[in-house]
Amino acid sequence: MELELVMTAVGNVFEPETFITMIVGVVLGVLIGALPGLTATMGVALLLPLTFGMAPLPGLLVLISVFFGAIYGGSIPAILLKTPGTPAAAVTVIDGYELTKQGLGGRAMSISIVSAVFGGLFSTTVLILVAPQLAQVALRFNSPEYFALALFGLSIIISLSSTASLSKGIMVGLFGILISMIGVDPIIGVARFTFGNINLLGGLSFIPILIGIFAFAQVLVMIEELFMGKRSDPPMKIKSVFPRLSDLNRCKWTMLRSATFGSLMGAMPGVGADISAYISYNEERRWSKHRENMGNGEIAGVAAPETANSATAGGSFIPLLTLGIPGDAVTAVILGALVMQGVRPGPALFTEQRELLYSIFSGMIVSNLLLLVVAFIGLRFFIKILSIKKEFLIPAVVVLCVIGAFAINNNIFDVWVMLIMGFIWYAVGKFGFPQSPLIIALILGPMAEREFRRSLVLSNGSYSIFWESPIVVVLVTLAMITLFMPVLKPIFLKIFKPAKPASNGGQDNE
Amino acid sequence: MKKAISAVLAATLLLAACTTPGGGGGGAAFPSSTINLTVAFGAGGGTDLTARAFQAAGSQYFNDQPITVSNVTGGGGATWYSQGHLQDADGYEVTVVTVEIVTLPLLQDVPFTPDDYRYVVMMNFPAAAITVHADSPWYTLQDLLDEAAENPSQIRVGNSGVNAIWDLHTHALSQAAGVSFNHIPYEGAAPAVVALMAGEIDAVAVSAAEVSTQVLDGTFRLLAVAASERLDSFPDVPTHGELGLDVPNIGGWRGLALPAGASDEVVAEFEARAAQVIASQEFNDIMSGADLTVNFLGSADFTAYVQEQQAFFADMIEELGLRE
Repeated sequence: MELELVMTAVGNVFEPETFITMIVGVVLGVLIGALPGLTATMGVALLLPLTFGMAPLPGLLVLISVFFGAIYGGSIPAILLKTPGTPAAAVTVIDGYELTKQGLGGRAMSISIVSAVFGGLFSTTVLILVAPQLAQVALRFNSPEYFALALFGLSIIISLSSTASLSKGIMVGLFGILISMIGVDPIIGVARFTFGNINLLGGLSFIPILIGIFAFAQVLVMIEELFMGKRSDPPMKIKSVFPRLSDLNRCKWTMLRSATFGSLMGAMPGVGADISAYISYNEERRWSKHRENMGNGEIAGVAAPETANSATAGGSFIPLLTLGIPGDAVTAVILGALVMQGVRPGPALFTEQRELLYSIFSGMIVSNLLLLVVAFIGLRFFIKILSIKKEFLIPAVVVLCVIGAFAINNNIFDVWVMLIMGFIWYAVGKFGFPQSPLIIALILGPMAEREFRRSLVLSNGSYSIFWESPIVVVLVTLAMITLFMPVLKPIFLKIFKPAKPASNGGQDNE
Repeated sequence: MKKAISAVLAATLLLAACTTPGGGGGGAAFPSSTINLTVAFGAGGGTDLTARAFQAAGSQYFNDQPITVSNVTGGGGATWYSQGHLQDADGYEVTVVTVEIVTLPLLQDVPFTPDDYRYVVMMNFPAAAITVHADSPWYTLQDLLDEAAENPSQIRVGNSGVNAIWDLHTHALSQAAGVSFNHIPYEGAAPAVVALMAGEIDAVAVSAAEVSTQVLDGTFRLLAVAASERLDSFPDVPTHGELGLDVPNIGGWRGLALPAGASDEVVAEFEARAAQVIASQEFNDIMSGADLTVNFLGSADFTAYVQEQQAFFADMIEELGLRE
């Protein structure tokens, strides 16, 4: 009975119409993800009207394929050009581009493919096995818990900055929180820092800033090198595009941990792939055997965020299918498609429409396997970006920057934001200011603020709402430990190794 | 290599072309070129879906000219509403208008007013509703209002954003019933629905369509809707009026509008064709598939309704002191 259902479901996925639209979906998804500014949300929304005329299953699976494809696609320019294609790939830049500079871009790319597919398959398995139970656990996360999670995420700024410069990281983080406050206040509706400018009412858009500080700033650096006649980057030879067994072995625990984290965070409505990529990367810096090497071109530093963001994509189907709750913008569009096709997510889907449900599950697995094939075929082409002369690459990237910044809201103001942030980062980047704290602050600062203030509205102003929840207490404690680690570490070292004076002086690598 | 780059570029341009408002052309028979609809909200929301339903069903009633939909988002709609009325008024640049075009100028300092547009057709009217968890002790709206009267500002009512339409509905309801609620804003309807499911709030004030999944599976209980008649989708749920509450029909209505400079002929021509789209089977099928009702009003009625809404919200916002 069960087996028969599974066979029918798998058969449905391999119907020619379904299978072909899925291939198209994966290819489009990878391209959309690889183009900075074109996000998974936009890709899914563009395809939505086309699915109106399709049967339910192919219509849904093409959107799901675009979603998985786009989440992977974001890592391609992140690794090769230091330009994340999607916010979820911002952290992949750190080790990915470092590997490319060392001539190991091919290995980084292939581990990113394997990680993405592993994350997708792992989270789909979690979805199949324990979705209803996990969804109930995720509902335990309310405003105070989300505040604690955001605070914990913000504390990552400290650990990510400790390799470069702590004070610079904190400065960038605070700058990020400051500019994230622009716009209409989330709780009482007052406009802040808008100076009467209509474009600032909704706050600064995140994607144009992301494109500015990564892609456009990098273009300016390339232009400078060109004019100074400096050829700082050695010619990049790509030796192999296939993943090495040793690399896979090196990353196996990283991938398993990140897939678990990613799936869990996907199950929480409101935690996106971008947040989970940063948190997983940071946890690897804490737990991985290779943590010393992270930030200097570590394969596991690519595997962690890439596994986590794909796992989060799969995990976001948990609240969607079990409770009918979209966890992020992409699943909101997919929910629209589901409802439009007469599929009502919720407990009934698991009892009454099991053939369709199992077909969706099979489709998610197949779309990840398709991604594996498409990505390895595409890799041979993408990797050639590295051999393009700078003179040709620069104008192409500038065009992509402008289009990407414009396309997110179809608003020219965002192009100015992108250009200004790019120039700012070109300037301050010379002094070793890291980008990551700005991204983290822009994602998590508003979340921490609104969840904190909403908690207080809920409790009519009583702070006890925070320490009544054990989850909050644990997360805030962890955040505090991370936050004060740079102060605590020397003290610990002094206690346990009294002979050796603890010093941070050697870490200044500017 | 060049191939890969040019493929990437071609894809970008293609996508950009799909999302960029192009120039409209004049001609003898309207329409003689592409009709561009612009939505002031993100893809996938109810306003976007309504526009895309019009797009999918509409072409054949507009001389088979293509219809495009683009989303210019930001400022809760303000970004596009302050640009939409500056477009050409020849009938090719259409703004998908929502109730925010009335409420935003009353709440904030924005460079547009509802009079900057000519209202052509209303397409959809999702009525506000009050929903509680099925485990709660409230079986009717009166139960909830009694509780609120005993414990002023203690009943937590979630909404999709501060001063957004569902929040304004909660204000109107509490005004009419003489009670006060604790208003809890979320970032859209979905997080508010999650919060009710998790028990963080006591009630949620979003449209019936936005909670229909949970109402149908028995997790939530729909207490009342702010409409003049009961909804087809929930015939057992009473309206505010039936319960003796003087709350006008409040909903996040959606329609099509042209810049104020549009001539009577252009408006009449567009209205006639749009009315056919809205009456078509295809449009109705897509809308009902998405849990959206079809509520048609022609240009004259729609314009009168917008003016009525303007007066109502102006009074309410003034009285409650909601303007910053």
